[in-house]
Amino acid sequence: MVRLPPADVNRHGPPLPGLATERTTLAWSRTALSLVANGGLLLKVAVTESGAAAVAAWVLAFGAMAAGAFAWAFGMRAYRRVREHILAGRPSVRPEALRGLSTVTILLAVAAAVLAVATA
Amino acid sequence: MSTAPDPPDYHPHASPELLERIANAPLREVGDEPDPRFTFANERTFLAWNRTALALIAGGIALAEVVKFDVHWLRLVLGLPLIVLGAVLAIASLRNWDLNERCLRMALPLPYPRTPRLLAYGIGVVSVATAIVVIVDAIVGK
Repeated sequence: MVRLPPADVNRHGPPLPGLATERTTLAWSRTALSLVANGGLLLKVAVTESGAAAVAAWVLAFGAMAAGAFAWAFGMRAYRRVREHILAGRPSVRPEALRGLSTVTILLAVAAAVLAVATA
Repeated sequence: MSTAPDPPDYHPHASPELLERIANAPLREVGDEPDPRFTFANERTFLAWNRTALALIAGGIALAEVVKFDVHWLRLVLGLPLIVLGAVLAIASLRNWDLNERCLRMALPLPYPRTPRLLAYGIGVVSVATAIVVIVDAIVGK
C-alpha cells in the first residue's frame, strides 16, 4: 500500500499555503459579489429617479460594479501569485489592496447617503 | 464572595508604550513575517467585515430609495443609520485588520474587537426603529 504524505505538512521548510489561498480567493469573490449587488440596487435607483440624481446613480452603479469586477480579478490573480510567494518564503501581506477596498466602501457609503438625502 | 477570575487585560504581555510603538511603526518593520496562513485568516476576517459593511450599505440604499412609505421622509430615518453604520464598520475593520497584523508579527495576543458589539447594537436599534416606523406610517399616512 502506498501512503501519500498529507498535502499540508512540511516540517522542515516554510509553511505550505494549503487551502488558505483558496478560501481567501473565495472571500474576495464574495466581496466582489456584494459590490456588484450594491451596483444592481443603484441601477434600480438610476432608472426610477430623474435628472442629476439619476446621473449620479448611474455613475455610482457602474462604479460599484467596476470595483466588484476589479476585486474579483484581484482575488483570482492573487491566488496564484501569493501561493508562489509563500512557497518562496516571501511576505504575503497586501495592505494596499485592503486599503483600496475600504476606501471604495467608505466612498460608496458617503455617496449613497448624499444621494438618499438629495432624493428624499 | 465571588471568586471569578479577573478578565484578561487588553494585552496581557505588552506594555502600553510597546503597543504604541507597534501601532505607529511602518507595518513591514514591525516584528517578523508571521505564518502566511495567519495573514490570510486576518485578510479573510477583514473581507468578512467589509462584506457586512457592504450589506448594511445595500440595506440602507434599499430602505432609503426603493421602499415606499406614505410619510416619505421616514425612509431616511431607517436608511441613513444603516449606511452610516456600514461606513463606520468599513473604517473599523481596516483598523482592526492593521492592529491584528501587527500583533501577529509580534506574536502578541490579538486585541479584543469592539465591532461585534457595535454591529449587534446597531442592528438591534435599527430593527426596533423599523417596527416603530412601520406602525407610525400605517397610522399617520393614509
